[in-house]
Amino acid sequence: MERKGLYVDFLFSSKDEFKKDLIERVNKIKDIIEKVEKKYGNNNKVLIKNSAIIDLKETLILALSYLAMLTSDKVKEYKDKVIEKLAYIRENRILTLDQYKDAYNLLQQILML
Amino acid sequence: MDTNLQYSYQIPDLKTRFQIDFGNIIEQIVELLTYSDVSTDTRTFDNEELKNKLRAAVSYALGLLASTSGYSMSEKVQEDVLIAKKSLIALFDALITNPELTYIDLLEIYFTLIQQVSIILNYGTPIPQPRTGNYEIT
Repeated sequence: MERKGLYVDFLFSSKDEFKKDLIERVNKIKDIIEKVEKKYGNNNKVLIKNSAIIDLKETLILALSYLAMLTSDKVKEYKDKVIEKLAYIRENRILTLDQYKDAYNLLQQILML
Repeated sequence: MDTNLQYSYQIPDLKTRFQIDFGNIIEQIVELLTYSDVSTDTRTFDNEELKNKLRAAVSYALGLLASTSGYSMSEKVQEDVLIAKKSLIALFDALITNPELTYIDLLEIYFTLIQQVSIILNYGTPIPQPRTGNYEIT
C-alpha cells in the first residue's frame, strides 16, 4: 500500500522516525541562523521574516506533534511554550534574531526529552 | 471471456483505512496551522476551514478507536480506551459548540488529538485475521 507523507509514516512506524525528521528540520533552522549571523553578525536589530518564519512555524508544529507522542512529565510545559511561540509568530509575523534563536533553543530542548 | 479467472486481492483492514484517512487529513491541518495567517493569490486560509478539518480528523480518530474493538486488551488498556474516547468526544463537542475558538485553542485541540491517537495506536494486540483471499470465478 502506498504510504505518503510524514504524518502517515508516523501512523505506520514509530516516533523515532518522526524524531529523525524533526532533527533534520531543527538543523535547517540552525543553518538559517548561521547564514544570518554570517551576513549581519550577531545583531539583534536584524529581523527574520518570510520563508525563514514559515520554516520555523513548520518545525514548531512538528515539535508539537512530537511532544504529543511523548509521555514525559515535561510535555505540558514544553507544549505550552511551543503554542506560545506559534501564537506570537502568528500575531507578529516577524522575529528578531534573538527571538528566532530562542525558538531554536526551545526546539533543541524538546529533542533532548 | 475466461470464466476460470483466478485472482488475489488485498483489502486494507478497517484500522489501516482509518489510519490513512487520519494521516492525510492531519497533513492538511498542519498546512492550515502553518499558513493560516497568510493569504495567497489562490487561497485564503481561515479558522473555519481549520475547524472543519479538525472535526473530520476527530471523526477518523473515533473510527480508528472503534476499529480496535476486536483487539485483545488488558483492563488498564480498556480504561485508557475509554478515556481516549471521552477525550475525543469532548474535542468534537468543543469544535461544534464553541464558535469563538482561537488559534491557540485550535493548537491545543490539535495537540490533544495527536496525543490520543498516539495512545490508540499503541493499544493491545490485533486478533489475526486473513487479509488476502483467493477467489475463483466460475
